[in-house]
Amino acid sequence: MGMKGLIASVYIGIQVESNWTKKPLYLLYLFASPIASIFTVIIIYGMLGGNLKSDLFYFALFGSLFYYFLADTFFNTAFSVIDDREHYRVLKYIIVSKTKYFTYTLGRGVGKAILTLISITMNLLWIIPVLKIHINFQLFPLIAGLSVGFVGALGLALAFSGYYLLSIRSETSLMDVLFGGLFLISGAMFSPTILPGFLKTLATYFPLTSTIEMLRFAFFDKHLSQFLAGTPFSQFFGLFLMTNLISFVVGFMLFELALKSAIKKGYLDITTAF
Amino acid sequence: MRKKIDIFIKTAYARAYVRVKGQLTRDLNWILASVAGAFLTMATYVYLYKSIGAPEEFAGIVLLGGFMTPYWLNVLWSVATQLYWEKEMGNLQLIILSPAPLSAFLLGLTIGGIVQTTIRSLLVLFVGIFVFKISFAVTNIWLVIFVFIVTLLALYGVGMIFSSLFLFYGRELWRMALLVQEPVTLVSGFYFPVKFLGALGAGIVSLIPLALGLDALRQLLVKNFQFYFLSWKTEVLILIALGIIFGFLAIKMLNYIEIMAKKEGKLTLKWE
Repeated sequence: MGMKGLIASVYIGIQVESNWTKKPLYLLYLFASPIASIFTVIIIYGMLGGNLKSDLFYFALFGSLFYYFLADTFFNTAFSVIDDREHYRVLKYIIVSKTKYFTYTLGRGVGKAILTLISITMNLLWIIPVLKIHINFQLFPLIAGLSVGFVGALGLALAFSGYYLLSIRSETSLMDVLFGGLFLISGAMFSPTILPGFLKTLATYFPLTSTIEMLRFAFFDKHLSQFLAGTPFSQFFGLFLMTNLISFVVGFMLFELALKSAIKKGYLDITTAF
Repeated sequence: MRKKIDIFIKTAYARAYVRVKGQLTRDLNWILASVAGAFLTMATYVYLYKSIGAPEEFAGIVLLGGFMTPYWLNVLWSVATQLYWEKEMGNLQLIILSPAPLSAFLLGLTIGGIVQTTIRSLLVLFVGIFVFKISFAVTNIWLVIFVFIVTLLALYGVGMIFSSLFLFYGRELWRMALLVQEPVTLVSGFYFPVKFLGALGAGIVSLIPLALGLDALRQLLVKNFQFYFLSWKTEVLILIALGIIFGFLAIKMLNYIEIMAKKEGKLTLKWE
């Protein structure tokens, strides 16, 4: 039942995300979604940095794309709680079904990750030749970055799904804080080394930061900024693995606790006309 | 006639009251969260500029972008999409059937939105000034306020036009709003001067009131701001023209929607 439920959930995840329009149009939508962040980086670095060939530019460009992949997966998976409870009003049916709610959430996350991956792949396919970016591709960091990075992002998604399960009103406000906050500390656009003390430490141990760095490493086989420069790969990999696994374990525990509590409190079918 | 005016004012007041009162008494956490969110996004760009050694004035440029961001989000998510939300909640049929005019309803929504967004935007501005120690060169505060109001009028006019257009959408509206949000943020120059888009690019995006309004405000407030597109006086004139055109179009479209909803009875139905 677990695998069957997971496959069905991935399918549902992809359908919910994409079946509001025709497939070719949805592909265009996927292609267009990260364009604004790509061009923001190009414009800022092109006009002020004056160098579209510098490591710093590549750092921000690839960082913003990978942040988009992780954040989109994480936000959408967490938001599926509100979507299912408020908009489609099916949360209670999903939870009482034979498939575990964790499996369902995992499936939604995988579905979204597949779509976002298609989106960034389409964009990388034009960015690299058009901007004549010389890449030094490494398969292992890429596979590790995508798989372990997904697990870490899923951990964050589970934690916030738990929060949404226990909030009876639509707490989209949390998204506002998270979007801004995670963008700042994830080291997507600039090296976290320039952040003030406390934020720098937070950024270093934040799972998305090392995942984004790992994915950059997969394309350039080197660190593009001061961040983690000079750190042996084994140590870098250890940090990356540890932060992401901790994120998943903590997220999973919070999610299970919140789910039990939400069932007990009768929050599964509460709607607020949001 | 007097009765009609009375109903118009009462409707606008009632809708504005709900928006302001509801937000301040029931959604205080949302105000704080959106201030924190806008501030943190703005901080990302401040650090980004620091990391590439951009001139200091860029902190002020980004801060003004951060100040205007809540208005754009308010227009998109609370004005442009509002009639759609009302439809999905089943309220739109009641609004259309009542003697309250739809334009008054949207005017109240807009006024209420401006009031509650101004609270958030000012908080973003003050937190930004305090944390990043940014100073502005205010030579004529009344002129700044005038330019700001003209920008808002044109911007909310766009929101009112979109509120009618979005009524034709179903489930895909959410995606469309998301898709519109980021590119407009990009081309309006929230985080860089619109001149960076080149003369042609800046000329095209001048149709978006935010782009011109932000550029004019930066000329009036940021010390040594050299990257302006047109002089602020020209920009204000264009903004006034845009405000009149958008306002006119918004009223026309609302009337059309109202007639269509009453005649065909489809636009106001849930799940259509």
